Amino acid sequence: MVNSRVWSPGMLFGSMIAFFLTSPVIAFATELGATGGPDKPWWFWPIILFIFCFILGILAVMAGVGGGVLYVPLVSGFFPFHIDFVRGVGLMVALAGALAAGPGLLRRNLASLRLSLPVALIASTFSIFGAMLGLYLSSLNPDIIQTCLGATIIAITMLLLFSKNTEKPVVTNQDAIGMAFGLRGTYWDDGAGESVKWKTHRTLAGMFMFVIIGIVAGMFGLGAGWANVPVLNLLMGAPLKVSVATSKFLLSITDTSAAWIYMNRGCVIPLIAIPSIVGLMLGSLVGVRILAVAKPKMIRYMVIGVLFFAGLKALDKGLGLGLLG
Amino acid sequence: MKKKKINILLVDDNENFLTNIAQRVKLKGFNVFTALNGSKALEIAKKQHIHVAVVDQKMPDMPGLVVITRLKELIPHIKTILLTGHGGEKLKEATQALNSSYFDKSDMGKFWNFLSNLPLGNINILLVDDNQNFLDTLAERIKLKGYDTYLALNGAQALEIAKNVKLHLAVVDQKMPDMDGLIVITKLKEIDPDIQTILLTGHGDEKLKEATQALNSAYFDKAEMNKFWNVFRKLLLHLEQSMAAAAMTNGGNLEDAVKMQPKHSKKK
Amino acid sequence: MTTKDEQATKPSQNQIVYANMLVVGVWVSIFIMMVTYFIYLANILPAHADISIITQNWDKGVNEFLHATNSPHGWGWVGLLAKGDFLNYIGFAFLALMTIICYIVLLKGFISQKDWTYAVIAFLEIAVLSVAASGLLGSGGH
Repeated sequence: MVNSRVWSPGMLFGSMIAFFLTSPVIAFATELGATGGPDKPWWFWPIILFIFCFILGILAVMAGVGGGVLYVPLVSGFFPFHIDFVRGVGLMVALAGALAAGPGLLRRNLASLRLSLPVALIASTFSIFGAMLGLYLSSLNPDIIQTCLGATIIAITMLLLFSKNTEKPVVTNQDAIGMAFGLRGTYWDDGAGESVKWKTHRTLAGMFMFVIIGIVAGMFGLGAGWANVPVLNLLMGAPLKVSVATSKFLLSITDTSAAWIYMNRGCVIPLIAIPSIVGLMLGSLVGVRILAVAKPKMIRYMVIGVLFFAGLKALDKGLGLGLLG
Repeated sequence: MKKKKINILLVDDNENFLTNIAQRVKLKGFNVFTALNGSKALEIAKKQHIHVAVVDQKMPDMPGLVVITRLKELIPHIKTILLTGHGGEKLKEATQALNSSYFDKSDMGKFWNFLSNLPLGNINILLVDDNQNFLDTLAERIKLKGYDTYLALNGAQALEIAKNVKLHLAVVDQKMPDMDGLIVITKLKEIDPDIQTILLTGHGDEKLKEATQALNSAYFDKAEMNKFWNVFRKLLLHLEQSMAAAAMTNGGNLEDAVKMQPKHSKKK
Repeated sequence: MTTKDEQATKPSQNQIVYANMLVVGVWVSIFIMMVTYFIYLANILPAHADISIITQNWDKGVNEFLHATNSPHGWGWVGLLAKGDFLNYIGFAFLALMTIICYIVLLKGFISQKDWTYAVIAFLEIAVLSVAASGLLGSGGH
């Protein structure tokens, strides 16, 4: 085993992985966007999607960015699928990942059921509206969705780059609503070797934010971890670990309602969905394995860079500027 | 009914021995044929499809080995066991050989049925022996495996317990003051035909070894099944923890995610 | 760490039950997906919509796509389970029903603990997810 504390070989290995993983993805994806079309044999798509999502899964884990948030912009940017299907499948991908992560997080008491339930109810209700609105808008003109998606993605990259989460926010006074719901808990911090008690504040404002998060998640089929975490952590004052874990668990509920809307509308094409789901899942499993050996920081910046590029592309497509081909 | 009964041929010139072992084998649900000498044995083998032959080496008309060779000519797939011991020794030899090679196979179907009828892990085992020490030692070992034990110092006690409790397995010593182990087993089977039984014939340490071995072989299937579920469970746990670790990377702290991986979480 | 802390870091019974059900449900549905996808691609069960029609139309909006492939919406796929492509919906549906199933168990737990606030929340969530799953809202496209 390579000890991850040994920096130089770890970093070298890491940058190698980063190089090998990101450069072909970009090159290949750009090419796909240019040439992809119905002229390819049918088996080309499941295989390519699987490989693409597998690498996406590895990168998502190594970059610390949710797989669900990468899937929609990247696949819609580089594959010939209509945005309706990308969102539908994207929700299934995010849902599968969140559901699979849930049990381990609950068992460690990192994801809090008490914190999740009230906000999940809000977010999942509004993600239904978001999904219906999103489908309505794209039936009017898909460019509306492309444009909004592009803008959202660019905003997300900014959020990923500049938001500074707090490991253990200080909450002096819990508000009445938080108290009534019993929004507090204790978890065991493996790294610090201590148990950490937490409670929340600004519960009402936090709940309101989940109205918006729900709508955005349903509208674009994005996993909403990027929004959940700052709201739980910075606004409501839950420790970062609890926020991250609860956010993932929340996704499994929020995305369920939106996924059903898309599925019932016929937006989940099995040919696309299954290689995507399985590929991303396997990628995450391999990704955590690689993490044990190397944690190259640059992958995060590369992935955020690719995401930014995908956001620009969506914006470009939506506004019909034709700057990026 | 069972698909196929297993036919066992016992060959020995000692009639006492024959009846004794035949009784035990019958209790296990096999078909038994007996022959007092080699030529009779071969005659039976010509008419019946024999699966297993247990043959004494010392016999008046021909040695056991010759009988076995001829039996193999008649039935190529026959399993044979040659007995070389004398008296009590021989009895033990035969019982062990039959136990080790045939218990699992023949009782498989019954065993699965029997397992599906119980909540996992809730198996009642009755131990019958006049030696309190032995009982305690054995009971302790069995409890460690997660089964429930009932103890009886003699046959009468054993039957009393069997009338009140649903027992799945009885381990009975042959030599007891009030009645022979074989009689206890026969009566236990009358009370509950589904009960599995193991007769102990050794003495002292020998007996303990015998009991442990027999218990192991009798519960081998169950252990195998648990192994399957354990592999399945471990795989699920591994997937669960890996996916949870992958999720934790979203906080940007990759170190945490690494710590949550299956390999690192074993210490708990 | 004191025993009281140890107690506090333990997940609640509800969380454990939820986790146990979820972990089996998720991987079973993933496994189902892989099997049905194989059946689909290996053409063991012929597909309702030819793959070439799908690849020719997946750049169009969903309504146009459904029309081109003559596919149903809502729960219409249940009637087409004998077709390789719609067979895959078993896995999707199972995956998307997991949360509802787990919540039903949660609801029972909250009721037995007389935790009425959370029982109501769980009940409402089941209602919301069931409405979403029912197809009453989602399949309004023409």
